[in-house]
Amino acid sequence: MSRVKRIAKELEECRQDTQSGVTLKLNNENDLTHLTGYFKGPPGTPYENGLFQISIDIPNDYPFKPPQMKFATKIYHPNISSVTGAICLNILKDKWTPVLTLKSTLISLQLLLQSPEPNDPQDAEVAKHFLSNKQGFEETAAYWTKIYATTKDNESVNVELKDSQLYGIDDEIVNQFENMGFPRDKTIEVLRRMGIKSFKGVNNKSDVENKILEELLKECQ
Amino acid sequence: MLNFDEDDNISFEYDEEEEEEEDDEEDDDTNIEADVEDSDDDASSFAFESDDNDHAENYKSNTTSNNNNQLDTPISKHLRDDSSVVGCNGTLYLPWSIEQFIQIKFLDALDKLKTFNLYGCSDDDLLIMLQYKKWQQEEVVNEFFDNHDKFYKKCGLLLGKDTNNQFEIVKNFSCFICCEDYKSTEVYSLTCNHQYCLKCYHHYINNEINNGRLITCIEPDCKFVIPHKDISHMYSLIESKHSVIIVEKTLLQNPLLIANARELINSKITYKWCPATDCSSFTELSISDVSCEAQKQSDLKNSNDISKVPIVGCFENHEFCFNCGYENHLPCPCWIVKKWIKKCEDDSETANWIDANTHTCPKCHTSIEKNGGCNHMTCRKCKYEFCWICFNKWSEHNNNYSCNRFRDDQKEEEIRRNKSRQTLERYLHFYKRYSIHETSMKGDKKTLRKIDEVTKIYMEDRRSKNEINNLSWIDIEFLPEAMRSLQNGRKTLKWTYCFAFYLASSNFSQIFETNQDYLNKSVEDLSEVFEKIMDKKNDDKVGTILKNKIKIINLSELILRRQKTLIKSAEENLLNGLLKFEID
Repeated sequence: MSRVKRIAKELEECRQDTQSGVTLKLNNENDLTHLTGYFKGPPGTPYENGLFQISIDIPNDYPFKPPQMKFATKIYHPNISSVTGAICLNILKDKWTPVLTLKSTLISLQLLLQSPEPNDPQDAEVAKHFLSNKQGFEETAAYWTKIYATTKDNESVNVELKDSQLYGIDDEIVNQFENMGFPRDKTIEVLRRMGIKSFKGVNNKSDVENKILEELLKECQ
Repeated sequence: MLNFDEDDNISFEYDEEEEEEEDDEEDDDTNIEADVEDSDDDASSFAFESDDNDHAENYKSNTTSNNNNQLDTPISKHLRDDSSVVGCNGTLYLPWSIEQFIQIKFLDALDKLKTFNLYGCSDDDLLIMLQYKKWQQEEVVNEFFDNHDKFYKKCGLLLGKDTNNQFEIVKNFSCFICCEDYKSTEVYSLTCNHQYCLKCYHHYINNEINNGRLITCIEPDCKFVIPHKDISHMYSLIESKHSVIIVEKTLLQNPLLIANARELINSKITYKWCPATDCSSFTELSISDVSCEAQKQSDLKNSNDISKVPIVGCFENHEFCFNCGYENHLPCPCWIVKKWIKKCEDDSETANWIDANTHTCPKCHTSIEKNGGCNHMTCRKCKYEFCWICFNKWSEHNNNYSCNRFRDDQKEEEIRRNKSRQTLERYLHFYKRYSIHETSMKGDKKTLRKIDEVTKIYMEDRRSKNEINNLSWIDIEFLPEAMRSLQNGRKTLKWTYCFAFYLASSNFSQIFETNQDYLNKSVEDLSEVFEKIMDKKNDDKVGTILKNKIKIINLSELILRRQKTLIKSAEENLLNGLLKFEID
């Protein structure tokens, strides 16, 4: 069983290496096929200060087939599904080679956080946000990091969870429609579906408002 | 010797007589045969030879009448030349085997490229360049002379220097991939000198090869390409771990070339794999205009014109429909086949199980599975109590115990109440027959394979004993022909049940059923002949074959004729609207 030996060796190497900032842990001491990886969000990005958990499943054919990785921590990133945590990265699919390791793959993921590829997205909604309003995207990503990826001993954990902010939607819009009598969750759902985050830079504001109204009326029928 | 000569002469004389009479009087002919055998009794050792001769001559005269038929059979030969074969519906096609494909598309291109004498390129390099350029040798030449440094780099080859790809045995090696520490092991490396143990390399290649693309060094940023020859060698080395001898593969057996060929064949719509089990050959449709063909195929989708169904043959002589990729399904049009297959997939397993494991309640027709030992059944649904064996009411049963007795005045089946039940039964009727013929086809195949073996062994035996006048291939040439017509006859028969299931009943559907019946009979007859030959009690199997030769030939001809009549009449009646499909 070359797989067992290889994973054991990778674990050991990762344990000794304190430089890379990547940690690997077995979920269960007796099972070498389910691991969890941890790394810090790269500084200078909206993910800074966050600690991200990656769930790792090792296939039978490892290292000849890539490990299956996904984000266990919720993250707001164009190449990672905001719902499931699935990752779109070539080395986890066809560009995998047996020379790559769990550690090097985790480092690649860290790099992916630094340089997103919105043109090859996993999460279309996030990618659209990124391309249309980079600042808004970064604010939302930072917000997600704060809420989901901050460790318990960090004091900022007690941030109030705000649904509009979660999707990077300007709270004013939500309030505007809520005051008209529409339920808050429906309003957010419609706004998400229509890809509207804020009215900043929108010229035909009243047109857009009408469209939102139309959608909301349909939704609340 | 004298005896032998006489025998020979006698039989020869008979032959000449026979040839004149043969066509109309077959019965006579068998009588004569018997006579010869009788007279041979005292010279038993020669009995068979003279018998043989008889048959050989018989056959010759028979083939003349057979010839007409052979011309009409769908596939007459499968010799490889560039002219297409014409299928039974006039479809032009070329049967291919993978080896042929590799030879013609890949290796012939290599030979042509060699004549250009590209400076400093080995055969390995040329193969890599060709595969990189999808086997267009002109493009290789163009790009090579355009900027050969760049082209080399693109192909993952080394600039102008000798390659240093090595299989070597290294001591104290620890492989980075499997993390094993070897005292001494075989490793492979390309010129880049990235060494990994042979096992890991093989595993890696095995994973990559299915893409059919060139394979680079395992190291992610290393672009060197592994030559075809080395891949072959690696496979041979790994396989030789289980045996002593290393068998080097030829280029025709090269795993990467095979994978690449498969990839190319899959990606083109003019190629289709033969759907027969364990058949690895494929067929190319000879068409000039692809877009026109696509139009034709979409026309076929709902057409009832079965003369347009593109039946083709493969390299191994299996017939299949190029349009829908199933076996030869005449007389059914493609869309009916699709409907049927879908229906069978949906319903058949359940229906089968219900049929085999349940009875229906005599009163309410609910399916009941018996889960206990007692034959006193009570229907869950209608609470009717009955006997599992005779299906009579249980209360009557006790007083008048009659289910152990055989009664021929069996009660008429109750009038069906339920329409959906009727359709199910109708479906089951056709499906059962359809699947029975499918199973019989498998059974036939087994018998035929055995017969093939027996005759082969017999002939080898005779040859090795150097017996004069032994049985030659010509003498049993009729066998494969007959086997094929049996198989094809059954196949047609099988599909007639699908056809009949969707057929609206009319006078013409009765004609169809009559034709079906005729075909059924001759197929069963021939199948029975073969089965009898392989009967365990039969010691002289080859003798029986030869004895039944005429019967076999005639039956197989009959099958062919009836099969053709059935399809032809179905085709015509569908076209002029006398036969119609009824789809619910």
